[in-house]
Amino acid sequence: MNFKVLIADDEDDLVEVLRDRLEAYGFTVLTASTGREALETLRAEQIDGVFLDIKMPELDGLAVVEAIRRQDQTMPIIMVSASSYPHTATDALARGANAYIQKPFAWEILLAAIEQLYHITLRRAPCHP
Amino acid sequence: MSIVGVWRRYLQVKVLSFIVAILVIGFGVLVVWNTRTQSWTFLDQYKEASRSLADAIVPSIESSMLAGRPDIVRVLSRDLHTLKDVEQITIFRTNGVEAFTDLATLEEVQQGTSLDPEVVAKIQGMQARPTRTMHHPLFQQAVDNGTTQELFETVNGVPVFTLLRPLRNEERCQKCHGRDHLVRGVASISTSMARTTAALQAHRTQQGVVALLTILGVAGALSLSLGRVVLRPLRVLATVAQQIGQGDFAVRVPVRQHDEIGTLATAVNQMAVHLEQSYTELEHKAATHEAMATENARLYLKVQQQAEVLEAQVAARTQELETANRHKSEFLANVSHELRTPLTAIKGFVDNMLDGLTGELNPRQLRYLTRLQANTDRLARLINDLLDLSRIEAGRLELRPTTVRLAPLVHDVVASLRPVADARGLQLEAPTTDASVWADADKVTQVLMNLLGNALKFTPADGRVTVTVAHDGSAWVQIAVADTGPGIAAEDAAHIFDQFYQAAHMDLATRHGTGLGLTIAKTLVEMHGGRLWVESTVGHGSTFRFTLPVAPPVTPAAVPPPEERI
Repeated sequence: MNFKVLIADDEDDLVEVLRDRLEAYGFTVLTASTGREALETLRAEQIDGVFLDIKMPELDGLAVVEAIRRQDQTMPIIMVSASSYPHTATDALARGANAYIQKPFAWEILLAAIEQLYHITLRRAPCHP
Repeated sequence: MSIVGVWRRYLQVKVLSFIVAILVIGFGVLVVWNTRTQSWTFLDQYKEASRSLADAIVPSIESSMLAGRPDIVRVLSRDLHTLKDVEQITIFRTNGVEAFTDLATLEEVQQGTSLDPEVVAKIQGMQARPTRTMHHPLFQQAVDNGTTQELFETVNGVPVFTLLRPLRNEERCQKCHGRDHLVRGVASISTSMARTTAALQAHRTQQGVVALLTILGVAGALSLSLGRVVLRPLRVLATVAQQIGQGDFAVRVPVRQHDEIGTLATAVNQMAVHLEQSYTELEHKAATHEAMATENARLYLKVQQQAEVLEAQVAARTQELETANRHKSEFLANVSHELRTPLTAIKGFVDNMLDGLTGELNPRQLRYLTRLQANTDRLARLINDLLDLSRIEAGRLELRPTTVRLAPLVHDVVASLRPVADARGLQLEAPTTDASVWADADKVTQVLMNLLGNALKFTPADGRVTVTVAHDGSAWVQIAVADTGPGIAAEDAAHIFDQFYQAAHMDLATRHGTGLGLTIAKTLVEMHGGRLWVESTVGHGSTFRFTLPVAPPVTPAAVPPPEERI
């Protein structure tokens, strides 16, 4: 289980929270703080999945999903947003995201989505075996 | 104008006609009666004269007979012709044939006598005419009975009175005529009534003329006095009434009499006075009404203008409010996004620490982080509730109703909350009954979570929270959440569904909710058409009940649109 994933979010704190957790599970994590940067990283690297914020500078998360899906239909994409609009979830799923998680999220939900997409099982408290 | 027209038009003509008619009838009767009476009197006098004549003639005839001079009878009859009115004197035998026709000649009669030429003509007429015969029944009666008969005839248009006097064979006659007392002949004395008739006629004419003149005089006098006393005042009255009728209320009838016409004139004058008063009042009222109508129209226009201004203001204000509302919603959405972002970071870091990413935690760190986690969760719920409320208030929260089975839904909610109940040492009992409702499953879950969450929060340890579902066969299913908590005072029960009431009034130690949950729950239930209420006694727990419409018994595709049901 050595997946290389990309986290794209303009909020450094969120990037850090998510990166720390995923690295604790053994993921290799790359990060980007704008949509354009995320697409550049995706072109440059071999990536196994993306965690995408929606509201980002230069290019928002929805545009990034569209761009990815034009190239790649199978890459797991989990969108995480603090948006308050009920239509955001359907917008994301309609563009090809595999899951939509509302911020602030409960880890159980996010982990369940990861387990489903990567066909793995994750311990709930990674550092308390 | 025709006669009938004149008759119809003028009262005087009618009255005059009646008077004339009555007078004509009266005088007519009088004249006729008078004439009849007079004619009878004339006739009686005439008859008497005729009888006297006969009485005078018969002895002369008898004496002539006795003297053996029947020729004198001829002379006598000639002389008697000189008497006025005498038409004819004839002696008939009992067989009805005229006697003494063979005796005298005209020459003999004329000897030694100078006769009136008129009488001579008469005698010549007698001589010239043939022998007369008499066959009248009265003649026969005179012969048979020996009584004098009277006969009226009209000869050549002239009324003639004839007296038939029988001539008996008296003792002095028997020397020549045999010894019997039989009737041997009849003397017929005819007298003309022409003179009498003419007199009567003259009398009648005279009386008629007098009557006519009297009638005309009386009628004229009556008509004149009637005209002056009745008709002229009536005409004046009619003229005045006509003027009043045409609107000239100032005219008056001069009152000169104190009879019925005077009363009528006074009444007409009073009527004119009253009419004038009424008309003046009416004019005044009409003027007032007109003024009022004008004023009303002016006010109406003013009100209408103001209403238009107000409508425009309301429309503009509505527009402003809609815009403001939209801005408010957008603002809320942005604010909540900005609130959630740092909250997510805080929660993430706390969760990571609690999950041991930063290594072993001492008990105090663990307690602080646990509190931090709970408060973060509460803040997240508050943001969600605020958003829900703003959506509800903006009318943007939409229901997606389907047929929802309550038993599995309640079971899931209860299962998700059982850890909380266990942690607090509370019994949490689920229903065994099931019912299907027509509702938005997510919203029903939200309502149930809120009510159960509250019950679990407020019920002290060793208490019990029970969820029941009841359907009595009506159109509504009732869900109840009962607890054995402290209960809610009546004054609070009336307000717990108000926004933030719970947060402001409940004991600080028991504050965990946002203060919006019950408001949202109540609104969600009411959006389904149901009701949410609380029954509680302080010290004996609370029961929150809400109703939802029962699901239609057919497939959802066949039911009416949900908008009509909710």
